[in-house]
Amino acid sequence: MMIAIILLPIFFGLSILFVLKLDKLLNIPILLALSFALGTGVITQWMLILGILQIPFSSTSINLSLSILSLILLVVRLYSKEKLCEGALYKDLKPGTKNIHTIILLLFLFATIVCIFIISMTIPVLTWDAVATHAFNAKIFYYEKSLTYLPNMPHYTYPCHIPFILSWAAFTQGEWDSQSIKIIFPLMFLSFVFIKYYFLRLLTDRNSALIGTGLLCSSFFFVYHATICYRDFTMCFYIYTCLASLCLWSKFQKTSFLVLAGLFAGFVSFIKLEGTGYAVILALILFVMLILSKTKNLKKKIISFFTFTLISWGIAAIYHCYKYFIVFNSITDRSDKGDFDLNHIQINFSLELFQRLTVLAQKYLTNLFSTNNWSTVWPIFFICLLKLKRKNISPEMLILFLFIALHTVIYTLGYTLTQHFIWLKTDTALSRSILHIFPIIPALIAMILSGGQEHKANGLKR
Amino acid sequence: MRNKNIAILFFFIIGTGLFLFILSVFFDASFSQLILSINRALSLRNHNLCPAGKLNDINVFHLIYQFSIFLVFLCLSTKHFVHHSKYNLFADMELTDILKQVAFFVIGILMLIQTMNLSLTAKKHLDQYAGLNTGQKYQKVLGDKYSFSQFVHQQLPAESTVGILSEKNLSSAQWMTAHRQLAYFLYPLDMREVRKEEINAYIIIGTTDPERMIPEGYQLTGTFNKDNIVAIRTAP
Repeated sequence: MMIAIILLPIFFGLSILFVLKLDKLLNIPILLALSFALGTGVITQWMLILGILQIPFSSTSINLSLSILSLILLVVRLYSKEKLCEGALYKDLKPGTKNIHTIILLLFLFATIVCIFIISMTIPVLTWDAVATHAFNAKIFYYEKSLTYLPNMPHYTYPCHIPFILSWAAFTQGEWDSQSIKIIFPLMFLSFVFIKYYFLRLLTDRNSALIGTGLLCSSFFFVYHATICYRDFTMCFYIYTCLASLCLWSKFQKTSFLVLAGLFAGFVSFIKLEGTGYAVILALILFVMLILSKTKNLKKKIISFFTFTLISWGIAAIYHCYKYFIVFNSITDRSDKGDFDLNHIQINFSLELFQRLTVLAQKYLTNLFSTNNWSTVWPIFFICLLKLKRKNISPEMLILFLFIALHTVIYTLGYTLTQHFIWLKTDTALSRSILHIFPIIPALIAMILSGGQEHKANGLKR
Repeated sequence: MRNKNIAILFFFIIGTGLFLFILSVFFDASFSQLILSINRALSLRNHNLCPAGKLNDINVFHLIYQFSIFLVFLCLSTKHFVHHSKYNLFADMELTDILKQVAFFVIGILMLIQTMNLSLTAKKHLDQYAGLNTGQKYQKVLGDKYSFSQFVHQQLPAESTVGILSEKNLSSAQWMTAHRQLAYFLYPLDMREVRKEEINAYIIIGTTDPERMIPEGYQLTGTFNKDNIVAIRTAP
């Protein structure tokens, strides 16, 4: 039933992409990659809704109902006369094999993908967070078939995307197998590589897109996380896909991309606690983009903003309402629960702040430049910035720069002013929080290399 | 243009050889030892941080930066001191262009090393685990820890609530990991109070003479080895 784990999310995701009429805009590889990402997000949201409605989890309750819903969406699409999107954006987006650099990069990507599949699928769930929390919680969902025990589960305040998707994989194949449920992660990696390349290809030239994708996969930390059951890989995948959709919306002004971005921003909030913060940051970036936009009138700006926020915050609200009104209410003794503390930020203004800032700067510099996490992508990024001219900064680049800036500011404040300094000190969180923005860096390098301007030669249509 | 790119690549490869030669003299190591050490230093991994290894107490990434500066220095020397235009590969390049070329060459080498490391890891995994089922894989990686969980499954009724006793400190990193792994393997036997039901069995681990720790009202139901046993409640 492994094939069902691959095909079902694609089917669920494709039905949404068809309704958004993105099949008219995008080519098949990116549609498949996007639909897998979208499908996994839809599955976990659906499981949350089933759980809230106290409908027992099973392959039938999840997959059959979603299949029927997807078929309905496809029928709606067939009979829909409204034209949301017109005009394909693609024309010969394939990497090609014309020069030696391209062939070497393609070989590198191919070897990395194959190795990730082998490494991931030969070692079952074993790493600390997976065994202690995510896969353990997934196993509980699988055996109990409900959210009944969520308040008693480890890290019960954490959003459930990863436990849900792992238990869904187990439901779909009909048994709990700690090895085969891991297939989700290499598939996500494969999907990410395609999305990365094709989105960059729509925004830059062929070589830059390939270099951007190659640089992404040159990070050892990024690649390693694609082989273990941690949440951060999925987090950076969804954040990047959301930002890429926002960039495409900014460039091509197709509402479907904004809806897509809204969906992914909502899914981000269901992966980790900070995901909700990211959903807010993403809305803020859209707000700034709309303020700066000179081509849209006020009504259009308001509609765009609400389209995005209603979708993303609406998705986030489902989980948060459930957590605050049902999960927290069922906790009788909150004083003993360290998890509850995670939802309450304790701000501490003191002279210690300066010492913390020094530690933060030192940790950031060491992490970016003296570890094996990111290869030499960060130095390359800073070298490329030297070549960047202000006139070449496109709105799409601005979106990405804004996200990095807001991410840095918020994490700096979080680490220096709150109790979360402990995570910085112990080297447990910094790399993983940088991982969330890491895929943006190769994308920006690719955009800078391509001159930050639209490449008319590649046949993209406005 | 294509010939020039190949010439630059050739230039960088010679520069790399020269740098490795200097390093091998400096570290008193052979070329092969040096390459193996660099490869090892770049293969460390952890889910929180992939640390950079060290060569003679020098962070491998600091060596990589020194290597990059060395290449830039070679390029700039060529640009300024080679007057014959045919051999001056960098005559029409600005400093930022040279930096970019060097940066991409260096990351190319790092990609090559990463691909080698990944391929070796994948091969090792295939050699060790191909053809094994999930249980056999766990058995191979964790040994007795996994066998004990299977033993407990055989000894206790499904969906029992299990307590854990040990003379070891279960909050220490080693024993906490063992605890979490056991809890994961044992579920639906509940070891982490998920169902909040009354404990009806105990496992006693990492304890010499574990029978002395069996609580009152419980009896030994299975002995895995001299340090690990299972006890079940006798009376309701």
